[in-house]
Amino acid sequence: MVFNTGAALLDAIVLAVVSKEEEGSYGYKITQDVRKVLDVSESTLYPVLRRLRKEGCMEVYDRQCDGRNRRYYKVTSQGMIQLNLYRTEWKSYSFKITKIFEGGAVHE
Amino acid sequence: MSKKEFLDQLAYLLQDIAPEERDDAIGYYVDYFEEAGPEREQQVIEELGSPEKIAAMIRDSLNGTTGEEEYTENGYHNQRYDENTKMPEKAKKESGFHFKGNRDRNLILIVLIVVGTVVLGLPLIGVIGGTAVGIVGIFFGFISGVAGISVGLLAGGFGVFAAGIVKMFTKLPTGFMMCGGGLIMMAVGLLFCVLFVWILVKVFPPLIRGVVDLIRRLFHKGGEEA
Repeated sequence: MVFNTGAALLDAIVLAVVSKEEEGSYGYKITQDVRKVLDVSESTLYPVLRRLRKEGCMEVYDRQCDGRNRRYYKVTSQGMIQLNLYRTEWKSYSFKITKIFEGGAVHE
Repeated sequence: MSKKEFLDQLAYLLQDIAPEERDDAIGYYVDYFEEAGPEREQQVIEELGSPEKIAAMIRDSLNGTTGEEEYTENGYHNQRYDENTKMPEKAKKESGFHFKGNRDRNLILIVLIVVGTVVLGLPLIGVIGGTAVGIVGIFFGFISGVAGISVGLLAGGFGVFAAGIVKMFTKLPTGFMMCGGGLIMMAVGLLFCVLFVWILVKVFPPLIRGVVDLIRRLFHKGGEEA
């Protein structure tokens, strides 16, 4: 990928990936899912998850899995509002960029 | 680096942050390793990067500083970590050192101590050392000078005296004169010899004692200051 991903876009992608799972997702899986679309390092996501949690966009709970604890991250209702905001913003942003790339004039 | 070393190092680097933050962060990476499984362990360690970098990212996240970083095609970038990773030797050294307490504060203290030593200590040591060596040099120069004159006069006088005796067989007056001159030279040489012995016996020991005393006092004083 040639384009850099800012913190907000990464937040949005992480929220989207986690919100896809009914029961939430865990660190390793979130990382692997994000890495399917974005070449982020495996170390990148902990600070992002931590921050989203502090901001109230995510909550965690522990669940027993194969005889050990697994920490699940789940998008909160506040996180869903944030994600929808990101979606709207992205739609208009990507629409404008696409328009310019494909040669059309931008009409608001 | 093994998984255990990695996690231990990370725990060490995060020991001064809030315990719940530390447990949360380390728990995350413990989980991460377990999900990845033993066969991916080495790959995960390589991809995660150094524990120092991760610790720095977590600290930044705690401080809420997100302005400097950027997620580029090559992953997460922050100028500060990039600079650190450019100096692998430095990073290695840091991981070997184990500072207690606040890292930055310790670093400042160390810098102050080093600067203080360099600014005040080195020239002082240089001046004292130089003066001491100079005095010792003058003294030894003087002693060896006296000894040299003494030996020279004694040997020279003896030579002239011997030559005078030989000369007596051909030219008696010249021979006598040379013998006399040789004897005078030997006499003066003996005087210098006496001076040399006197210095060695009477002047040298008190001088050495004085120097040792002075050095001891200097070190004693230094000890009190510290």
